[in-house]
Amino acid sequence: MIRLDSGAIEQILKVDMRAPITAIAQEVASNVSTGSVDARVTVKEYTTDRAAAAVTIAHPAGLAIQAKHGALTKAAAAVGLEVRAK
Amino acid sequence: MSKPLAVTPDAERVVVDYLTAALAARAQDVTVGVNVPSAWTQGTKAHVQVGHDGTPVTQYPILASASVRVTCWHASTTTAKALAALCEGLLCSHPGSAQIGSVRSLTGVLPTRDPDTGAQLASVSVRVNLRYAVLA
Repeated sequence: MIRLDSGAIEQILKVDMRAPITAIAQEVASNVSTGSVDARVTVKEYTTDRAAAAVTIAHPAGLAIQAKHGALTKAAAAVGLEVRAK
Repeated sequence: MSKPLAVTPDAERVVVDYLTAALAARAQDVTVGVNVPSAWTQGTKAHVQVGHDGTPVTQYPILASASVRVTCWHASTTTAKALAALCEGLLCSHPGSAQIGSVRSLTGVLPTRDPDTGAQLASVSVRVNLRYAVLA
C-alpha cells in the first residue's frame, strides 16, 4: 500500500521548488524585449498551492507591447514555456 | 536507423493564408498579415495581425507546437474583440491539413489600446501543431 505524505509534497512544491521557479521567471524576464519603450520588467514571487512567479512589463503600454510584439510570449517560448490561460 | 530530413511549415504563412480565406468566406472586410500597422488611423480597415512567438515544443520529425498570436486592430473595441473571438473560433475549429495537425486555444481575448496609434487592439493566442514535411 502506498501512502502519500501530503505534508512533504507541500514542502517540495512550496519551498524546494521556490528557487528553480524564480530562476526560470528571471530567465524569462531577461529575455523580454520592449523595443524603444523604456519599461521595467519585474519578477514577483507568489504562492498558490505551490511556488509561482509572475513576469510583468511594468509600464502603461505593457499590454500593447505584448499584443503588438508578443514580448512576453516570445520570452517564455525561448525557454520552452508556453503561455496559456489557467 | 537514420532519421528523415524534415522541415516545419512557416506558422505565420499558414495561419495568414487560412485566416485570409476563412474570414473572406464569412464576408469580413479585413486585411490579414504579419505586419504591425504603425501608420494605422481611425479610418483604416480592420486589420488582423499574425505573429509567431516561438516554438516551445518540438517532436522532430513529427510535429512542432508553435505559439501564434492574433491581434485585431480596429477603431472600435467591440469590433476588435468580436473579430479576435472569431479568429480564435476559426483557428480552433481548423479541420486539419497537410501542414496543420490541430489548433488549441492558449489565451482568450485580451483587449487593450495601442498608445502609439490610438487603435483598439484585441488579441488571442493559440498553439498551432505543425506537421513536419519530409524532404526528398
